[in-house]
Amino acid sequence: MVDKDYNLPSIKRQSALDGQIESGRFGNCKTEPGIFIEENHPLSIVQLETREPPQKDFLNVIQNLFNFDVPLAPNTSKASDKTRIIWTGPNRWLIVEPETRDLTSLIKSQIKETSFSIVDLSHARSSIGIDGFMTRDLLLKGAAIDFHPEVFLVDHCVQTTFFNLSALICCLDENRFNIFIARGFALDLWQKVQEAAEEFGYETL
Amino acid sequence: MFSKKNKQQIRRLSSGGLIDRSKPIGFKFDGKPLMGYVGDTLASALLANNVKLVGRSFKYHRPRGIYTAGTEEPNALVALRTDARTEPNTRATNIELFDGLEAKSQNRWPNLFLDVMQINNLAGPLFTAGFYYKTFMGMPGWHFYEYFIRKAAGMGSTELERDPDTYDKKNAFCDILIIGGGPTGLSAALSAGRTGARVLIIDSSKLLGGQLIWELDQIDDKPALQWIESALKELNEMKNVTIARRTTAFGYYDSNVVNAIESVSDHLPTPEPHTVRQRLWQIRAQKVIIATGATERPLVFSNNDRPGIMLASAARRYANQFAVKPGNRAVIFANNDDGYKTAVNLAEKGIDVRAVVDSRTYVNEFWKTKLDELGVELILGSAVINTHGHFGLTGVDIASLSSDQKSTSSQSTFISADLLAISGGWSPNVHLYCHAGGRPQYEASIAAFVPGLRSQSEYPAGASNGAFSLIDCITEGTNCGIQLATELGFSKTIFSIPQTDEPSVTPIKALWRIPGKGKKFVDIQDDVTESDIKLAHQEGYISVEHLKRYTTLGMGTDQGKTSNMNGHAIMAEERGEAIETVGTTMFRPPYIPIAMGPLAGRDIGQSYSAKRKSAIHNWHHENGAIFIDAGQWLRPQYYLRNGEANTTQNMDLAITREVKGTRGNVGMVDVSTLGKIDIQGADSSEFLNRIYTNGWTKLAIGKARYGLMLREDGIVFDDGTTSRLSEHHYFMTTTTSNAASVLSHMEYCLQVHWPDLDVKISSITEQWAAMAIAGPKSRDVLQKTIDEEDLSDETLPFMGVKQISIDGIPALIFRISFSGELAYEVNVPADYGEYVWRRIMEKGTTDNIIPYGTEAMAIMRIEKGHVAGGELDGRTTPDDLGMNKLISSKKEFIGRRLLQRDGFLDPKRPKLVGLIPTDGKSRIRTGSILVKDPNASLPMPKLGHVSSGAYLSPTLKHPISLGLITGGSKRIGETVWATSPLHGEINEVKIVDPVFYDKQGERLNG
Repeated sequence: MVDKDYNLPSIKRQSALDGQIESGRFGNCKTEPGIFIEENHPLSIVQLETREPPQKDFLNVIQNLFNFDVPLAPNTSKASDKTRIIWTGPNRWLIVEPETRDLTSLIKSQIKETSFSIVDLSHARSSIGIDGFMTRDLLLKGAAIDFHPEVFLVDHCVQTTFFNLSALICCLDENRFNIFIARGFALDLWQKVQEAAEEFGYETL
Repeated sequence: MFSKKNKQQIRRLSSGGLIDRSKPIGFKFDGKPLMGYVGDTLASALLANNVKLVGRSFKYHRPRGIYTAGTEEPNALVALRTDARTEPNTRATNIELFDGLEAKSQNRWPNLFLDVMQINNLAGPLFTAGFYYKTFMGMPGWHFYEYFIRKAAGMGSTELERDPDTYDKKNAFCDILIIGGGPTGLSAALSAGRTGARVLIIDSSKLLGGQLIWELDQIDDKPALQWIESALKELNEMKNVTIARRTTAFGYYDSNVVNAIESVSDHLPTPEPHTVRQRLWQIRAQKVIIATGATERPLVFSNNDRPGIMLASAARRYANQFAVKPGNRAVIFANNDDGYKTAVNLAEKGIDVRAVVDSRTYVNEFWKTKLDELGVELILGSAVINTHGHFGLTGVDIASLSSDQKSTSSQSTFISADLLAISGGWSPNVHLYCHAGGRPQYEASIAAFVPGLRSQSEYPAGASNGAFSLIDCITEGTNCGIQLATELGFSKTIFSIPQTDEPSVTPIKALWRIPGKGKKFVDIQDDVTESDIKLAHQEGYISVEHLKRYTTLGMGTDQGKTSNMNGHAIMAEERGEAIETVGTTMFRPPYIPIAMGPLAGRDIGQSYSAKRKSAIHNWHHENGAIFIDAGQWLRPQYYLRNGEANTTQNMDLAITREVKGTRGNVGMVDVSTLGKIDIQGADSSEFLNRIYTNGWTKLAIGKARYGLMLREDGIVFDDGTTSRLSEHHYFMTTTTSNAASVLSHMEYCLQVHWPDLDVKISSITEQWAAMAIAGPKSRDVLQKTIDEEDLSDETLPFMGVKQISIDGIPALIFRISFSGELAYEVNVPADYGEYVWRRIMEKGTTDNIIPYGTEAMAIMRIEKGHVAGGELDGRTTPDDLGMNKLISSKKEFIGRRLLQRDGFLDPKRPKLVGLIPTDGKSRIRTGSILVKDPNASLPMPKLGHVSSGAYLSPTLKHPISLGLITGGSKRIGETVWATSPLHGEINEVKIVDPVFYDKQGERLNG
């Protein structure tokens, strides 16, 4: 594994939601909140795209870097404790992990082929995590996707409109999801999720 | 708010009904305090209080009473609630009574009893179909008459205050959607649910069971209510079954999408905290069972609209479900067995049923015996031919009906009655089937239209499919549920059909109208009478669709639920054709009236469109920025200082300050909103060569180039700079507004035109926060900010690109200029955007750095004659904009071939010029039309138009504009007129060079 050779700026990253999140319980919280919302920040997000279906060399690099393979089935993801790789299109993936290293430079150092494109999107996307027993009901308010637990399984993901915003939705666990959207819409999404969660009662973390 | 004492409900039966007598409810109708019970509807509570008159008719303002007990109600439309929550045209039959409910009658003045517009009834013969159009259209002053006509003929009106409640939307998915929770729907849900299929069953009521709730049927020798209870218990225990109550399907669309409205809080005075008023469901199902039941039809006879006349099933329902006597002395008039059921029900509740009038000449012994036992007179082969009373029914005239039903005996019998319950048969509710694309077919055995061929995966069952007996409904529902689940791959289960105890049925005999004089209402809501239909026929209307539009038959809030079948049958009789030949109009969504609230959901006001904010937004906000929408982006338009009020004068001061500050010292503008596209791959240069008009293969690494992109038709599409970061890696910028469409265009080209090219593109607009630092001191400020890099002309010349760092933050710096000044565009990862912006502002303090907004930016670009959105308006070619030098003759590119079109080579095409008002001060409005002579006769020859304008140019001290004019630069020095007829503006302008300032571009070097 290659790690730690790639340093980050010492200046703290400022999230699009910086100063906008009020922690606490809100809405119809007569009992336990049905929804928990938190921002995932800071993240390293790298888009990897190959011109052809991935070959052995590429797969080996990924395996070496992350200890698991890229998902090949559309709209699925694979994850370790630290890193999640999400299929976002034919021969295209997003690699996401909490930011602890310069992931883009790390991957670039390992993949020398020019037929790959490696694009740093760490700052381009905002991500919020939604958890709680009403999560799937909340998602149904924003997206015309069947989120039934027997249909939208753990590790499934989808790119769709969510509350009228272009979003990538990823299922991490039975009731735990991550939403990725363009950074500029982060506050808009946060507010819409809060409004939709009001009837379930929600807690912001 | 109301007294709980109940001394008013004089028509409330002493026992029975599904009401909770321990929970009285106070409410008001037309200001009068009344009482009801939990479990009542507004209609049942009004009847219990002996309120007979509830509204005035649409056109003739005739007194009207409660006519039905359901969604089909044409008369009892009220304005519900008060103030901002006022909801007009609400059906009293569907409103669950709640404490403090206030309702008002509509379409009357000054009150329900003294309505002055009832004069229309006396002038009835005038108001035939098409009266208003025939009389007023084409006459001078239609708009004058229209106001009074609309005021006289209408329904309720809405409040103008903002609705204080919120509305929600949700999506739902299932294997099988069952619409309707009556015996058919519940049977289908049980059989499908037992297979494990995902079932969603929706019903408009709080109580599932449909007609079983209020009929006195037995299932398996037990009251039907017990069967419902048992079915619901089983369904509630199934995890794969979802039950949605108070949820009405109102539209069936393509791909088995069904929309429904959930009345979340309509039964409450106000929504509970954190709860919405209504919710729009969009349901996607693999199969849809339509179990929506049937609607009883009225009979068409003279004066069939008086208060006290109601559908027979409604009379039963009020007595059985709500323990209300709909009348004290009842006559039943029917052409089918429903009348007998009603008579027996009412008689057993203690109502004096004077007679059952049946237009048929035969009925089975079961009913005869029942009537004998109850002492109810049976009058066969007869009809009600007229009614009496004004604000309430006082009696009916009965006469024998000829065997062909076209005449009645000259002798008639009067029977005193305050209730006339009528039944003309039942029409299956085929509305959703029609929405799905189905075309109903006429079924003579039940005298009604029934579903025909299937269009999508809709499966009408039970009464909505023409199966009216309880056992048929249960059987069809059960079979349909199991069949569809099996088709979807779920395994069959064993089940048994319960038993019912229904008497045998004597077939209905269609009776579409009863002979006689006087108004015979067919569409009771829209005041469409039999004579209107006859008139339409006489005037040559053949199609039922035209009949509908001409007479308004089947329009209104009830959309012809009770009237269509009778109306179309009468039309068929007039035409002498079979009903199946004449056909029926098709129902369209919505099945019930839908408020705008749930359709809009939460996307209202500021939330109508998403707001996109740059990484530096907070700084702008803190520093007096006034924002302007740029697509979805919020951009600083200008910055106010020290608590300046946002007035026009202060805006001008701010803009002047920003332009002068930038041109004099240094200014900085947030350009994060520009589209940014990452381009990688071995064929990137070739790709750029094909999509841009100019050449790209020789662009050196570390250099940027301005590029022009055309549409395939040769029209300018977008412009921007693209920089080469490495051999196969480019960084493209687009205009803010075209960011998405340029990316789509490029994706399309790569996937469709040139899949052979090795190019990968990605939007990186949001990855980078970008700020343009412009002005003679920009280099000094930037040099002080960055880490150990040299920004001299030698290391970073004009159009150069450099990767640098600022406090360890990686940055891309482009030496490009939109303002015409020495300028740099600094891009840093977005999360560092605000930090870097603050650092530059801090370092620039001694150089008097100033932030500037889109207004100053636009003024400076116009001063420099740079084109932007106003010029790239989807109509201009490169030549129009003086950009021919960017057209390469050595290569192919998108749009090249069509640049040679005759139209594009026309010397009369308007071309880019500068414009200055000759008086040196008049504001020239963007969009103004350029003409030679403002006094020329119309149509005035147009020379061109003003494309962009700066009403103040702090640099030049007078307004400047860009425009496109025939002849272009050849006309420099001429004067023409800029006219804006909409604003009454005419100004003389002088044509000048489009570059107003620093023509040699010397300021680019500081």
